[in-house]
Amino acid sequence: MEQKIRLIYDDSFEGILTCLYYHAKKNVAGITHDSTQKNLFDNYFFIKTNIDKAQKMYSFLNKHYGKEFLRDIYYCQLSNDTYKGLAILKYFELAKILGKSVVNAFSHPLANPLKALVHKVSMEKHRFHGLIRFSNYASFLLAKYEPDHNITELIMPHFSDRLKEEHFVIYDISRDLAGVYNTKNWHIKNETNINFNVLSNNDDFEILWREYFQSASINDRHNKKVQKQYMPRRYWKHLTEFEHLK
Amino acid sequence: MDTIDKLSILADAAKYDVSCASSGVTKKNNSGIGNSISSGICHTWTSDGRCVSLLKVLLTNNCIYDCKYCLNRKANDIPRASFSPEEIASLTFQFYKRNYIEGLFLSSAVERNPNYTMEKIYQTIFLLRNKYQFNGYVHVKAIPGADLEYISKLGYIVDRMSINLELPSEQSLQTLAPDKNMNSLLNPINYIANNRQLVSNKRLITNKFIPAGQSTQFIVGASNDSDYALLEASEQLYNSYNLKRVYYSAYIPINEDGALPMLTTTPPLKRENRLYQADWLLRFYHFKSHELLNKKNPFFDEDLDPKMCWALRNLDFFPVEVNTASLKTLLRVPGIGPKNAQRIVRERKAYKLSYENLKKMRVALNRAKYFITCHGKYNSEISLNAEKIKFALLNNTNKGQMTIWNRK
Repeated sequence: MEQKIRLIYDDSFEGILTCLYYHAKKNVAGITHDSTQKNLFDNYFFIKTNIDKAQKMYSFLNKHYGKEFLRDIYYCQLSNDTYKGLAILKYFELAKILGKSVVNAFSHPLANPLKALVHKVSMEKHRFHGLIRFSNYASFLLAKYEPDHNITELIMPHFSDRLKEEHFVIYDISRDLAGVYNTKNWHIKNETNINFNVLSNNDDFEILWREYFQSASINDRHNKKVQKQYMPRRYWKHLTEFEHLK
Repeated sequence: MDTIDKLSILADAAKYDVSCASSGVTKKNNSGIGNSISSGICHTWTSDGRCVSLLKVLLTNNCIYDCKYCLNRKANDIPRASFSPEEIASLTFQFYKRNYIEGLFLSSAVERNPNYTMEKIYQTIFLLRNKYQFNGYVHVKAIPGADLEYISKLGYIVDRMSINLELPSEQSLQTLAPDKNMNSLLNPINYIANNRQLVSNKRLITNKFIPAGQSTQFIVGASNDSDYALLEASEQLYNSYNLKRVYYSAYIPINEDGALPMLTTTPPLKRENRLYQADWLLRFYHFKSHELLNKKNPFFDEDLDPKMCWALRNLDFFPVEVNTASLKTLLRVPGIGPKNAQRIVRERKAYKLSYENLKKMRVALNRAKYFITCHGKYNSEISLNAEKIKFALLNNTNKGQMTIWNRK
């Protein structure tokens, strides 16, 4: 029996593009960023990310399938799903058949796994435009959060425009990854090893916000179910208004 | 009085205003703090399940009026408080910086006289925009009876303005809000509509007049007005004054008065919800109010939503073939919303859509299946029969079933 070839990459956007580059040369059966997904019967190759090949693939995809197609792959790559590599591969396969209209194929079996992940990532991005909470320190603002997907680089542009004249950090605790803005531009810093315990703030506006949050609710319309539907419990941990739950 | 006590009183007094939208305008930040995106952003949800987007407070709850439905009517013995313009501007800036809010929704009771109150509102927004360099979203409620000059001044520094009509007829206004009349409410609405038209004709880019448009609110269930009266009034406001949004607020009995529902009455949340749904049908689904209700049937069905009721009364319109129907026709199918209708139109260009495709798109097939064909195939076990469909719908959802059994 002929063994199938599968690729393992480093979980980066350039990495997945490099994989697609190899796939275009020689058909592969799967792409994964998660080496625990290996099974005995298949041939696995670790693909070293190659910026040059990634860039070639990027231009190729842009030319043939357009910006929205690339955006879909980019967003999907930021999801926390184990099988996102495979979803991207299938989507690429469908693009070869449908051409540019692949981006409209929401419900096609080859596109739907990816479209569903893109939807989740976009949703969480939009949610955290609202749910990020900054603590105020003397010289900067700091927000800690634990998103499901790796969305920090997606939300940084929004906050750097909004808080143009502030220094701020948005810190993804579980990925140990920080988005840093210095009033000019922003960048992502990995493996920060930030020690947050040395920071302390005593902020009256946090108390005022909690008071407002309580006062704005109408008791006659009490509906915790809807509240949790829009704002799942897992997000509450880092919200100033639920400080008392800590 | 401390800021925290004022905040508690004046947020509590402002919360019955339904509007909290921060939508309708996209602004980049040129300098200072703040921007806005047209879809709006929700920042949190209170325990009543309502979204919080803006800091919604009153400037003061000291009121010279005596509207019977209102918590702040002068006859009520409640704690009174007033913010200074500086207090509100600072609070907004500090909350915004921490990303608690999208901006400010400032409203007020009428203190001393309408002009005095509007002047203080103007001072507040002026401070916020200039001293604090705030470019976030600002929604101001105009005070009826104030000189139009104030609306004109404020219009260039706020994003949205609203005048709450509260009641859809002169008669119910006279009974419940004797200090107000329809003209004093419609005048500023008309003025805003005309001015927005004028400014947009001149194509002024730097100075936009109320760029996110105006909205209003009706109370549901305080007067005898029917759903039809409310919906027709909304339709007129959308058509004649180009309103962005009409809100509906279920009346919560807070005052004892012979002209009002009794204090023990529960708020008509179901009615409010049906009006909300119908209002979306007017704005995004090309429905007309007379298609949904009429003089003989002036109230919405409690069990089924307005679109489903329309579909069941107009079965000859169906079934609709999803692969060929126009966007406008698809929008009439229960269970298909604007987003999915657009998806269907885009996706079917690439290949024919099957029932499986619609399932993956998360079309609400439990409602849509009676009204569509895919590729000529009708995929419901029940034929197009209003009674049978209604029975199936009410028995398929636990909620529906419960309402039926509870009534009988």
